[in-house]
Amino acid sequence: MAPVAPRSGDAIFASVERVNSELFTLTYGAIVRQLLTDLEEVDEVNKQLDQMGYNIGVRLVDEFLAKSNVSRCVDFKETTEVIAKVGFKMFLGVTASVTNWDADGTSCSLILEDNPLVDFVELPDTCQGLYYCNIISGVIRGALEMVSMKTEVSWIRDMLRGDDVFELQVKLIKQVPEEYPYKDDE
Amino acid sequence: MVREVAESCVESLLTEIVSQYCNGIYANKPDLAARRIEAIGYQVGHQLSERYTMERPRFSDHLEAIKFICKDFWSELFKKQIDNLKTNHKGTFVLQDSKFRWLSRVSIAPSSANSGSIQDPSAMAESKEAQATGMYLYFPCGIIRGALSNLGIPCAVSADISNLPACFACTQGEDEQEGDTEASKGIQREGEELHKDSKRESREGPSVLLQRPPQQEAGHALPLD
Repeated sequence: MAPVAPRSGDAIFASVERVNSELFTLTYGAIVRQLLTDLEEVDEVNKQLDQMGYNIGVRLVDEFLAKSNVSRCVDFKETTEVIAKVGFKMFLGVTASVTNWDADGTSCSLILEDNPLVDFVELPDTCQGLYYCNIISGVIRGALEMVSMKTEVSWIRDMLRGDDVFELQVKLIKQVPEEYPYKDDE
Repeated sequence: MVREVAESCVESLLTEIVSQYCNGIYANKPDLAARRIEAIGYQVGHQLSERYTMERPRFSDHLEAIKFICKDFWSELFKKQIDNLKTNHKGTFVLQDSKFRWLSRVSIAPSSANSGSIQDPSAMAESKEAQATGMYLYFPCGIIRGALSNLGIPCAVSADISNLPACFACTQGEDEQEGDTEASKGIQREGEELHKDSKRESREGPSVLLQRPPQQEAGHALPLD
């Protein structure tokens, strides 16, 4: 039987080094502003934020695995639960929930009701096409790729666009089987 | 309760700003990249100081504002105060953080130890490591400049990393952008200590120095709005 993954990231979040979220929120906001100035096109900014998120996710997954003590997830369902309950909590201090599974269990939605990235944020009319939180989808995509899951992550609902919650759709495209150069018991 | 996020979130963002601006958007144009990174910091410092001074009376002079940056502002950001504040009484202040958090996990090659100030391009060219480290310091430099400018103190802020792994950032007047290494060294020797943390680490860690415009008299009050 598979060991039970931690159900919540509360204890881990309490144990990691933390900073005032204002610094984080304002830094992210300043980055987005600067990118809008430098790249001019909203679509380019979306891409850039996603790329930055991907790079962060690729690194962050190591920290996540090292500190969270989660064991191997048996399936994609468990993986998304761990991201929602442990991953989000451990880094952003908030918890997401997982819903909207499709029939074959390869696509679901992460619902985020509270998001420290958007404290103080309001999108002006000129930025309507901006996926302000695109860095988060990039992080998830990057992190999952490091554990052999190719995914597509996209925003379905966005509170900055007037929706009641943030909804991220995570679609499993391909699970790359791990190949060890050695046998498990060596 | 103060809302918090993991420190690695902020560190990840900082790493990514530097990497995207230096290797992507402005690859091979370190000057432009540096200016953008500083601008992001400026924005953050400006907004943070606005928030952190909301409940306070105006600062009566520059020294009071600088002390606010050293104590309250720095504590909010780094959970510790500036270790050492010095001035030459001609408007230059040197802030020194002997264990600067954002550099505590940056690896520094020994060869970069002599490569000098980040505002000295020839020194920067000498060592990629020093340049990379310097890039990380434009962000906190921007934060300090943004915070001080919001408090009515226009200034330039720069970092001095000549003592790597100890690192120094210093500021000076806007109309005098060069020669800061010499200036800050002079200040270290001649400067009078205004504040010294009694628990200062003996281990030499990264440090941040800050100077204020030389043309303004120390203690001369400026309107803060």
